[in-house]
Amino acid sequence: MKFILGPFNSILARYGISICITVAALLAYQVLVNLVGGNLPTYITFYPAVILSALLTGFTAGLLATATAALLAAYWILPPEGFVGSSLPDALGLAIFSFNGVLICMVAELYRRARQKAADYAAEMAVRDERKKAEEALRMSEAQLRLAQDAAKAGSWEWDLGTNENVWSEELWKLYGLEPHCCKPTYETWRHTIHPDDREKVEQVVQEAATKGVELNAEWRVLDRDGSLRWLMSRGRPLHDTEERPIRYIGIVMDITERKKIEEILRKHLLELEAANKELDSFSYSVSHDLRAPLRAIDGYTRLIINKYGDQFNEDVLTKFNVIRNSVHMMAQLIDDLLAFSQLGRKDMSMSKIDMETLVRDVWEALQAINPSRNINLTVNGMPPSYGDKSLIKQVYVNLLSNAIKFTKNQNPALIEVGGHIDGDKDVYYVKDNGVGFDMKYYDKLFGVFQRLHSPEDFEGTGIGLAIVQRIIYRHEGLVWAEGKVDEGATFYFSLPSSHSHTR
Amino acid sequence: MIEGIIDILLVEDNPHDVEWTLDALNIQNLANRVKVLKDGAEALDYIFMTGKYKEDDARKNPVLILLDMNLPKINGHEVLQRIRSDKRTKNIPIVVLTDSRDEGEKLKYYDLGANSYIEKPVEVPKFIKALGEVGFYWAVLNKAP
Repeated sequence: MKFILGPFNSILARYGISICITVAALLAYQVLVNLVGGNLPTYITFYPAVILSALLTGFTAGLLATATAALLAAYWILPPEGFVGSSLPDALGLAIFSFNGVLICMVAELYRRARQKAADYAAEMAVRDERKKAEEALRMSEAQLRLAQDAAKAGSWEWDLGTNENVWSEELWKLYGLEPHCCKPTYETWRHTIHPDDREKVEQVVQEAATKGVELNAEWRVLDRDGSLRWLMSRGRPLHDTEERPIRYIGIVMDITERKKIEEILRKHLLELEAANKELDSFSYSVSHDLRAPLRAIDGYTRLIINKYGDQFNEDVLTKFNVIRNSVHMMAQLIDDLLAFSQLGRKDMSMSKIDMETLVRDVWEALQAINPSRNINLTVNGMPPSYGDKSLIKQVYVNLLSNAIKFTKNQNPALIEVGGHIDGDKDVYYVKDNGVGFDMKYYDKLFGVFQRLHSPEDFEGTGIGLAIVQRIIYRHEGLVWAEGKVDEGATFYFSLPSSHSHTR
Repeated sequence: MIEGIIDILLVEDNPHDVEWTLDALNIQNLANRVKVLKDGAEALDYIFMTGKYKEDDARKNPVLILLDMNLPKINGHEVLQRIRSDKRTKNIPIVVLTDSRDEGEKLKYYDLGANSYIEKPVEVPKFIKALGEVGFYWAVLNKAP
């Protein structure tokens, strides 16, 4: 039950209602008198009216109701009609009624006030609860922030560009190597925490950013009291006033000592790698320039001796000279292969989509020019385009097809077949021949460096061709494998990551 | 024998390679036109008529320089660079001879302005054949500037 009627809260409304209630009480009295048909106590309906009015419309309206009731009783109920001359008992009754009416209003008012106080108190408690909840939530979030800063070894700061005053989070004091709240946090105190060697540079960076009003990024070292060095990184964002001028910065600082350590290790490794590569380059350079001339001398003078004095030697001696010359040839080949193999890891690959069918035909044309007398039947089946380094994949086909040509030299007709297909996320290619094949028992030697499964008398070669193929394919993150049977040919397969996952 | 003009320069430090190169050029009747120098410094002195060759009579540029890369004192790389950077000599046909098989090096020498780049074969008959053909092409067929 509302004790202050909402929209009817104006005095007029309240007075009006209290009067209405009183009048209604009078009417009710008349009705009851007619019903009962006799005398009823005069104020029988007025008391409820006064109580109701006092409770509903307030103290003053209640008093009004009392007064109205008294008047109405005097005029209408008490004999004679009108205000003229009432008897003493009636007058007394009226006076007592009026007095009681006032009392009722006072009691009702006390009650009303008590109720109001209770409501106010409840409201206040509710507000206090809300505030408490909010404070609790704030405390939680602050605790979480601190925890996060602690875990990340990060601290947050604010910098007022006008006063140079700072606000530092708990963690930030620790990061700066200071006892929390040991002094007033300002630009100057911050400046002093920076290692003297880094101070000037950092200040320059910070001032430059602040002048332009842009995001600031700085890194510097902090020298702890115990002498240890830590690396900090600070990142701040400016806040601008209404005229787009920067007035404040807010930011965070993180301990990046670990990162710097790792960067240093990486840098050292990079230097080592560069040094190793330089050594490899100079090694290759020496091998290239210094090994071939002596070989030439061996070859040249052996031939000279045979040409000039050959008629003085018997067959045995001449054969031995031949061996020398063949060895020179072999050695030259070995040097070439060794160099090629060692260089394979060094050059960057330039990847592109490759039309494999055209590539195979180009390689075949070149190989045929070197082997004009051979009668070889080449079948080129459909092949999906691949994605890789064109010159390296060309080398793969040069080696595989050269091998196929070489190992089918005793076949007539010599049949070589190339093809490929898509297998899920891979493109698979093969080169098949009907040559001398190999024993699967020696499969693991197949791709070894300088590993050969046939003697040099039977088939020339240093045994590096397949090792090179394997190395190239591995660099493309593909796979190499083979199947073979002695005297029934061999098939060499390689796979490359699909060209479909690459855009041109 | 008619005193021929010496207008082919061979800069090579390996005496055997020199011998086979001369054999090759001899087959093409070019050997008597060859001046052999053993290191890069002397080659530059000869071309620019400085140092040891200061007192020489004014000489026309050679019609061909066969330049080995692996030279003592000043290497072939620098000799090529210096000849190419002087406007008196920048158009002399230069054939680079090398034992290297490196693609990168090849490109480097073309970038420096070599007219031709020959990878010296290890087998001497092939070597002689190659050098003979090179000599014939550049010293006979080609018309030097």
